[in-house]
Amino acid sequence: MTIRVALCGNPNVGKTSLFNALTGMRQYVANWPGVTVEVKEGVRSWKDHHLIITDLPGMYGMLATSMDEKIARDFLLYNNPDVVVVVADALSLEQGLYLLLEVLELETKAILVINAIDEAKKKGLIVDKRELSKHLKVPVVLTSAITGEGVEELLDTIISTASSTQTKVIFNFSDEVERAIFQMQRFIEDFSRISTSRWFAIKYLEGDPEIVEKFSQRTSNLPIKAGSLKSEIARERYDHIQLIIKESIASASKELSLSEAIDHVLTHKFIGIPVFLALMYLALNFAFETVQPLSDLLESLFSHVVNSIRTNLGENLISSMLADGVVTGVGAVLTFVPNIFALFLLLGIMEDSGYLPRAAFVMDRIMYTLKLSGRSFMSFLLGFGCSVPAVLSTRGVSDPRERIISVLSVPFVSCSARLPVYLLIASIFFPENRGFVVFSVYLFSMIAAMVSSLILNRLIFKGQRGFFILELPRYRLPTIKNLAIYTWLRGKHFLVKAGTIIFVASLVLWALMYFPNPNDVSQSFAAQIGRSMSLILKPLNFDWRASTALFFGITAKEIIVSTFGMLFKTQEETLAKHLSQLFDPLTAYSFIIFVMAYIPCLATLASIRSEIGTKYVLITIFYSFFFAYAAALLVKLIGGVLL
Amino acid sequence: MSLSEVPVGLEAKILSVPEDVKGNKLLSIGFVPGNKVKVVGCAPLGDPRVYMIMGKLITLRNDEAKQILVSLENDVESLMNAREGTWRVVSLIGGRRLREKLESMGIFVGSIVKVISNGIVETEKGVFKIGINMAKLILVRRDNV
Repeated sequence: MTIRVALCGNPNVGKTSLFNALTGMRQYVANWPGVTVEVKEGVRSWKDHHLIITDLPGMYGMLATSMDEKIARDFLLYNNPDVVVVVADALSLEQGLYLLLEVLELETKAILVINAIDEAKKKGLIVDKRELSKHLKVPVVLTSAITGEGVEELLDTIISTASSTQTKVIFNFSDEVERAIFQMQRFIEDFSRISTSRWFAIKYLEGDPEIVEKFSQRTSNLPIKAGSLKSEIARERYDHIQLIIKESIASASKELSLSEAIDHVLTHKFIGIPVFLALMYLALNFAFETVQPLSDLLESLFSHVVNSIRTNLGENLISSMLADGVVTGVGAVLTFVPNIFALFLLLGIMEDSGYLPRAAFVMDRIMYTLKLSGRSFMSFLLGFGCSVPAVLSTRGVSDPRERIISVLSVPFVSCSARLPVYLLIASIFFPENRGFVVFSVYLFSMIAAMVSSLILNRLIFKGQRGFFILELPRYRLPTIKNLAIYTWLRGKHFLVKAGTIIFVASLVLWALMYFPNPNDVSQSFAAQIGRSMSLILKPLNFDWRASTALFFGITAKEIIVSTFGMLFKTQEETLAKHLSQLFDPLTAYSFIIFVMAYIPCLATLASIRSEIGTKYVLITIFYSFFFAYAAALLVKLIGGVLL
Repeated sequence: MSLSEVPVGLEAKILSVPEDVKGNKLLSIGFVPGNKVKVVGCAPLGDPRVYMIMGKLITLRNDEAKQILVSLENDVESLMNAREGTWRVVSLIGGRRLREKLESMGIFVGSIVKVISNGIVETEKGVFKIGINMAKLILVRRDNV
């Protein structure tokens, strides 16, 4: 028999660890259709049953206040899973039971799992699961995702619950509230026959915006004001929970001694920010420096392959396509692999240990001035290394609006691939102030990212501001198993999604470069595109060669340098002479500003696509192009006045 | 008074949460009228702050906390909200300079102040007008003696 199981619970209750313990590597990540929230599904065979387990995003209650919660809620409401497993944290059971009470109002079969029972035992907390089960009338399983305790029992319980007829458990509110619910329920049943009318009635009284709108669309004479019993309902649920807890939990000590001590340092008033920056520096160093030899190894491996293709097949269409198109394209993805996996490993450690939310907490005030929250700060910082992981790291940002702004603004932060271009131009045109020029570009790149966030906030999102309610979970030691699953799934996800677009795009670019005349790049379609692009770029004084270099630069920013080499048919040493005829110093400076801001590289575009969808790739291309154009023009105008 | 005004380390009882989506979320986390909330700490720039509610550490920006109304335990009020009558000072939120300044006006922990009208108080050193920003930092309790 196939049993569909939904796993839900508050954020930070160890739900994902439990999911990993249940399914191991037999899981996959999927983007929920239409939205960008990630949902994980896994399968498990157990005693002749086939379990399909869906790990829902963390939720505090059924009143959806964020995209995550809405998805979890809608899944429970409309997908009718066979069994709903509500995971609660043994050390803060109240909020978990609150969610359970709400789930039970849906009249589905439910199981309560109390996780982190090992930690509870250490604290001297005793949970009487029989007593709990008696009160709640649902099976209760005590688990520890760390030690594996209770996981098999949970599997057994899922199967027995799926085939049982669980008695309906309805929590009765006070008479006043019940009367209102009954009145609403009768009203709802009058015009629509829904089986979960009680649930809808309660949600209406709690003021769930979606439900309220649904009813007020149909009729204007609703008997009771929406949301009028919001506080009462919450209050009565919590009162009930307190009673249950009093009867079934012994010695609930709410101590957080170790966490408190660590927090004292990590979120300290004065050293909190320096500690965060130091940790970020270490992380960046690890993701970009420590694993760099591996990337270099892959890179030399690919240039080896390219060379051997050339020597074995000679110079022809096939060899050029294989060498310059396929291998280079695949190579562009694969050389990222060590960095990407290293980054996800670090993100996993920070998330699992509980530091990530604290970093967000520490940096929030600064980011708030940009209408962002502390969560996005890390992504901006990562952008200095490479935009790809920076875009991928926006997964940590829970507000979809903020996430889109971060993804669109992060590429303005100057990545390391642009440095060769700055260095080349700066050493030709500003040999004396080379360092200062490069530094100024970095500074401007940060300003550009900030300005972009503000513009996007104003333009697209009309300055709506999200609220920032974040839980700081207990510190935990990350387990190797969880880290391995986390890193592997996310890394794989990136490889598959980004790999395809990079592969196709590099083939297209290869073709544009190769045809119609393989021996002369200046005659290629790409150069012709460059020529027509130079018409648009004319006000900036970029001629067709500069435009062609910029066009190739879309594949990867380093390529701008080698394109100049190809176009002038010269080595880097004599390139300086040619380039100094191409620009004057002011145009040269506006050129590097343009390079800093314009269309991100293919790999970044691919990750933007995999994160927030194709639509935003197009938006990015146009938006960053105009942004760069405006910035370069500004430099030219201001420079023209000053000089 | 609002939750954002409760000094770090003190516990308060929740009276109400805002009537919007934000409020819904706060309710489900446990910010339910009647529950107790403790101010645990604050971020480097004083915003956001961390609160302990039912065993969980939750951070809220001051903009959000401002919309949550609370009352301090044991009838403690800030002087800003204190109505006419006699009050005893229980705590001062602020550094040495504030303390010195207030001390010169006869306001220190344990001293008695008489609120004459809004912003005007009488101490053993005379009658003073106290601005809202400073009054917020002075916590008092009814003194019925």
